[in-house]
Amino acid sequence: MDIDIDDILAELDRDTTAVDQTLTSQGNDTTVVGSDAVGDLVAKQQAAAAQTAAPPSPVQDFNDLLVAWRNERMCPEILAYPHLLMARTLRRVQQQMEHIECVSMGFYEDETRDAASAVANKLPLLCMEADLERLKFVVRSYIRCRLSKVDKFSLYLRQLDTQQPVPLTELLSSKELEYHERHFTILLKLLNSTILKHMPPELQAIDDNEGSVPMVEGPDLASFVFVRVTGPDLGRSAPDTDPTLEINDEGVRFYPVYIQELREEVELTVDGIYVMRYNVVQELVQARKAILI
Amino acid sequence: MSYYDIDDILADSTKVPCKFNCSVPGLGYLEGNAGHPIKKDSKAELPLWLARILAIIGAETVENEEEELPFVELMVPDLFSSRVLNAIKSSPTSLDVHSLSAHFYELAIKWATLFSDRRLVNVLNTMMIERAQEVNNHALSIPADSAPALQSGTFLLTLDEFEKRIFRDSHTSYKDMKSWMLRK
Amino acid sequence: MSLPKTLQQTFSPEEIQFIVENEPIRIFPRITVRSTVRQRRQRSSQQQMRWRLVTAEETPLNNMVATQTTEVALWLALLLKQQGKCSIVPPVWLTLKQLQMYIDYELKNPGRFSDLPMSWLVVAQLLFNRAADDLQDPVHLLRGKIQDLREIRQGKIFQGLKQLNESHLQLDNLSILEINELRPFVLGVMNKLKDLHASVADEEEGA
Repeated sequence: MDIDIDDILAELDRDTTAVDQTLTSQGNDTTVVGSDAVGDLVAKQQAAAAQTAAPPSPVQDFNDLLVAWRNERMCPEILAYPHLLMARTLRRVQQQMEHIECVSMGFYEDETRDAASAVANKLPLLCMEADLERLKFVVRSYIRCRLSKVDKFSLYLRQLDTQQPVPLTELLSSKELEYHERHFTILLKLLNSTILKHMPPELQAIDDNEGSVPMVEGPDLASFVFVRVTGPDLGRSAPDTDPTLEINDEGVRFYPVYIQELREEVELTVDGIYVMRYNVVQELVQARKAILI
Repeated sequence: MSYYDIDDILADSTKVPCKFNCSVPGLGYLEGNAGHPIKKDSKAELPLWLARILAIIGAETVENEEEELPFVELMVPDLFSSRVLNAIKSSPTSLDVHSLSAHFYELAIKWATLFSDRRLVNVLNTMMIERAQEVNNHALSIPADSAPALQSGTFLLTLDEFEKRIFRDSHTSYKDMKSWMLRK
Repeated sequence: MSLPKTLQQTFSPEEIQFIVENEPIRIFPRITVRSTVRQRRQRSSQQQMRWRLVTAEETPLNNMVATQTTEVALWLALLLKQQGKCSIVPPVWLTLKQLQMYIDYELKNPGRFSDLPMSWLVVAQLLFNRAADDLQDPVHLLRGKIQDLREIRQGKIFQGLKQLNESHLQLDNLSILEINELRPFVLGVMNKLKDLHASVADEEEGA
């Protein structure tokens, strides 16, 4: 299985100007939509977003991407793909590349002051290139991390049915779906031609979950993670806007959580750092009230 | 624990002593007596994955009318004998776990599951934490560029596979950190 | 493989540095970027946006005035510093006096960690290496204090590792780099402790 990641990334880079047609909604919004209604919905959502608030600034988007990247890296499961955020980010990478190109060619300069502005623009250019590289690094690392999980959970993802709270089209980007599909085909072909075809038919299953140990490995949601409790909207919203936050006798704000396996209640105080089972803080992470660190 | 976890598979193939509750024709080869039946009350070492099933499933031909006896009865293997458990309790870090079993913890977890053995879990809990401190100290103190096992004395040779993995992972982490700190 | 095995479980120290480099820090620019009113009038037809960034605020850069402090992302500060275009205002905690106070606190409170910023170790290390001349105190003395702090805290962390359990840990005030360094050990042992205790958990539920 020699799939070159750079090809995939290059392809992603090329396609940044085209808006991803499968994008439905962003991050924690998990509305289920039929595929034909998707286009409409996107248009509506974008219109609604435009009316209610200005689009997020590049810095805001970058910070959200950083959070998405850090969560993804430390999370045992594959998290929902932030369709809108990534569409904006990839478009921004493309635009910035073009912008830097134009500046370095001197297109924006006054003809009378060529030499002087060329020198003056050297420093900003240096910064802008570094800045763009930093964004590209996060995008790359984020996608690589997700692809490694798509590889790892290849069979598991295939078995996720449409009843899941987050449908597969929501969980993965269209590119990731395509990658998953093709990776799985190649994997199956390899297994068939090397081993399975030599086995009796009743031993050929690779997805038998009836035995004492299921063959299909899913994410271990009970594994431990480091988590920092931030408060509502990653600490950007005032704590009193969050009805799930409670205040203890000492006036400390906390989220009550429950460790099912141990029947133990724990108070996770805002700004606290914990080592906790992922499934205990899963909802807090998905609701942007805590971040994996 | 995943289906393809090699350590889990190896732990499951560890042989444990069993006592047969009934005679079984044709199984004599298990005690080096090929062609003959294995007799009631005779002892044999069976891999855990097999012993576990035989210890749960009842034999159909039971002489008494009382409740069905399973084919075999699991006997406490040496590595969970009270002698070993006492040695663990008195000094967890001086115990040669690797020579007991390369998959000691894995096996212990399986054993504790079979017998719901809370006492074993408590002993193991203390043991794991105490030995882990020692593993951590070694992982931190060994210079990044030397071959660890050779120069750090015997403790590292007594680790089981789980402890080795912890050692490797933490050592890598400390090593990366040290080289980052030295960077200009 | 799309992501190296080691990076599937933790961050590299370089990645932690990358994360911290996005934090703001104050600088003294040595250049003036903001155009004067007269200049602006002359160029009124043309928007002279000289910086346009996608990961950090560009406004402070486009309004830089020599010797007037402003706040930029740490990586930008280091880049400008490297180009000789600014000096960096070290954070208030990065002085011999302050660090000694933190050391005293660490020694006096064996069960707690002082509330140094989450990024203290990374920031100190970066400024020592790239902006030593901007620091208030001699860098070798500061390094010594940071090293002391690191060792005291590490000692406490290792003491704390005896508290590992199958439920959870609270580790307030540990910095992001200290957490990352400990991650493989802490998660490895706690996951195994969890498995160990899960082996007898079913019985209890039945009872």
